[in-house]
Amino acid sequence: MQNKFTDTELISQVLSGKQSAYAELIKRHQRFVFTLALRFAKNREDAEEIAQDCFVKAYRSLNNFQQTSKFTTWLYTIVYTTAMTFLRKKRVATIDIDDEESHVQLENHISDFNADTVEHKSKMQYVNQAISQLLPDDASIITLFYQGEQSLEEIAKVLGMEANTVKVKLHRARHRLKEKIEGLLHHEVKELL
Amino acid sequence: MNSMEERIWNYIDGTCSMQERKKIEELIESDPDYKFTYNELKASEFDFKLLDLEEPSMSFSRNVMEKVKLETAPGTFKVLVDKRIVYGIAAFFLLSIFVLLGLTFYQMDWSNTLTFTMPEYKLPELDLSKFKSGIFIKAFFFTDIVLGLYILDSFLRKHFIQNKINPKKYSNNS
Repeated sequence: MQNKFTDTELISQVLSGKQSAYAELIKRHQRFVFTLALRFAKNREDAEEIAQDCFVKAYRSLNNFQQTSKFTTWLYTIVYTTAMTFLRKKRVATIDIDDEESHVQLENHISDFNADTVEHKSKMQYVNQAISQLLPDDASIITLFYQGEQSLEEIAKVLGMEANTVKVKLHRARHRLKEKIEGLLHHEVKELL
Repeated sequence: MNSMEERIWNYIDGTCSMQERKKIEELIESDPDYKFTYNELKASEFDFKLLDLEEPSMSFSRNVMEKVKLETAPGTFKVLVDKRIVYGIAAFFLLSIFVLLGLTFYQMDWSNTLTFTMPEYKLPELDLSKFKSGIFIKAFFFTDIVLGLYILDSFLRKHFIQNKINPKKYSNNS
């Protein structure tokens, strides 16, 4: 029933006291917010914590949303700052363990990868696997551009950069992703031979 | 990354000028390198669009809404009230106090100030015996117990919700 409302209408409803309208906003954007958080956190538990914090923060400052930009652009800005703060805190707390964890994660990725064959893997899985191996900045720019359907200017706003810088970063990120996909495919072909 | 790739990406994204666009179109038509790279990048773009959005846990939305319920509603008076109104009210009361003080000093008979003596005031005797009746004591304790239970209930409820939302964080904190 509430699906017909736009984001702006749902926000007005929340501000006028209808809290249930916020649940609709969460349902609408949770997948993207979670995916974006996952680009930074690299594990589902942390990504879920970041995503939850983002929605709570967004609710707290819903009054401050000026509606001069899209709600999604504003929301993704919160995701970016929350994720960065989270990573900074985590880096300080577990700097030594982090290296081990990422090593283990990479190993798991490879062993996971070896277990499957080309026949059983769709292209989509390769792309998803490749993006998980990119640096958070690269992965988030690609996600914002292709899945979040944000323009270069909007991404610049989210990341607090110049649009031209984002353009260059996007080019580089795409290049790296392309290389990763090619690397994965090459590795798979080698395994089969 | 070479400039050819960059130019073609700009063409695909539609971020180049019309003039540049025409130029690249011609190059794709005439130059085999450009044509090859264009096809390659187009295929990559298709791949990038295949990227899946991840699904959070089933309880995600419910967990967020439980946290949100603990927050002050963003549209409430407490949040919406303008600071200027608060300052205005404060200024009104301060002004009233100063006016009253001014009036008091103005109406004061300053000639008697040298012979000022503190007026004697005797406190009325307090008869506590009438409060010692059984009903009064029972009512006093009953109110205290109800208030205590109410505070305990709200405290436990808050912790229960937090524990349910984030058991790991809760156990770490406690």
